[in-house]
Amino acid sequence: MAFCLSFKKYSLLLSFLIFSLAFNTVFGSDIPSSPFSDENQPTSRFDTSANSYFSFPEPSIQARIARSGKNDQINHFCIVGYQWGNGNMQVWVHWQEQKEIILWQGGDDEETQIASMALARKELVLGRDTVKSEEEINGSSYLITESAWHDIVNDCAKNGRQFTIDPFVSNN
Amino acid sequence: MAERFPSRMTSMSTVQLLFRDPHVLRHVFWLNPGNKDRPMAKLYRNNRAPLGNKITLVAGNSLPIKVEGLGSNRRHIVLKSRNPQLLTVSAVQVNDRMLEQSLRIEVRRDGVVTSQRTFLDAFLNDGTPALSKKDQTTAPLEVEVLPEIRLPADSTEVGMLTRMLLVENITPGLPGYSSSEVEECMKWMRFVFINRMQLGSEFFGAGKNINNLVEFVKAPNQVEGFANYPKLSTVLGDNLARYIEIANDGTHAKNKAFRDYIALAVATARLSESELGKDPCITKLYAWRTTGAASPGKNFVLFASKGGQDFYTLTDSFIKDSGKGGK
Repeated sequence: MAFCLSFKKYSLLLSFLIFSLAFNTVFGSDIPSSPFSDENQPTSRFDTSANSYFSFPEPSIQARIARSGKNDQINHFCIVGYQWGNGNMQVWVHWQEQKEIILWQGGDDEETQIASMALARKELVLGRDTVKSEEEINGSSYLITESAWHDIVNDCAKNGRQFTIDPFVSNN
Repeated sequence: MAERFPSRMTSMSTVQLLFRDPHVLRHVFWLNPGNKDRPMAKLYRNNRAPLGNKITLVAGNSLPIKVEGLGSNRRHIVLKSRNPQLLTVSAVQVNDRMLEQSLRIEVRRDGVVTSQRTFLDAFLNDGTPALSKKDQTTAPLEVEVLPEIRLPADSTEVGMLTRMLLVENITPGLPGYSSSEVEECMKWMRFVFINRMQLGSEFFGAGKNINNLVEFVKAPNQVEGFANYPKLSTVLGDNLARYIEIANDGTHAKNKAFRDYIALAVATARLSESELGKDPCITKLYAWRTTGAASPGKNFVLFASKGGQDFYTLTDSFIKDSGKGGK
């Protein structure tokens, strides 16, 4: 009888753990915490392809590549979106070849989306805009730690949308 | 321009012509001398959106338009400006055999310092330059002409603050944009720099004895892209150029939104400290980061989010240790 109760207890515990893991994976409490405010963590990732503010990733990425003059090579991009309970969204774009992450603010039309990617004001290059420790941020409006940079990149590789852009002729 | 007809009329029935090209309907209708219900002239933008009764343009703008339909004398109407010194209309393509004509409205570039209003009237083309008879079926087009927007000189503190406020805030068209939130956010950014200057530049990576706001903003790694001000980073310069271009393009859908946005930044930059009002944070604001981003450092405490930014104050212990009390 004791064994049966223990087995039942362990089964319930195992079921609970499996459920929690599934719940957390779907709703995102495995989201890396370091890139975000301790007091204000995102509640989940969201599917940028289903959001009208981010519905033109390909022309936006192409515009960024063209503006950088890197359209003569193969480029690899990744897009991952995070959201908060109050509706706030953050979409990070990793450009592998440039070792940069870009905060893509999207837009209510194609022109605005393209401009907000090509002319993104937050473009954080590893080593140039990253510091080793939080102390070194020292009030900056934009620096992040190296570990936060890598956390976004790794999370994007695992959970984001991947894009491979072949060389193309730019109109610029 | 695409051909609307075949180059020679063939002996096809009217029904056969209709099935070939729906635009033929209007022409057959029009060419029928017994038809009294002629389509009135209508004005369109080149993208086929109706022009409406009123448009807004900016000094120096050039707007191509289409006019579809003929006057009561079966000839294309002529649009004439009531103020040709301010605004003119010229023909790009006019053919009385075609239902549609292409015109261009051009606004003078120089000398427009205040908002002005004029009208374009439709006249019947009687073949004489005098154009004395108005086409009563085509309503006048009201044109509001706005002066060109320019930012305050970059050599001034107001100019520097304007540029900083423009590039640090979210802009029209981005998710979450609200002009009232951004207005408040811009003021809060002003408080951040006022408070930092009062506390001491040395606490924010700016070195000691900097009592000049421009030098403060240029402090390393403080405000992205401003380290070599007035030379801005390329991406910031391009963003500013885009905002000004849209604000000076009366044909752009977001023209008014960006004109208002720039006006807001200039007005906020010009406010004196007393006009700014009271700092919303009792322990004063000292930093901002994009909403949701990691803290600017262990000595900072999140106060509130506003206009897409998280604003921070300092810990009590830091303020106390600074010896300034933050007051």
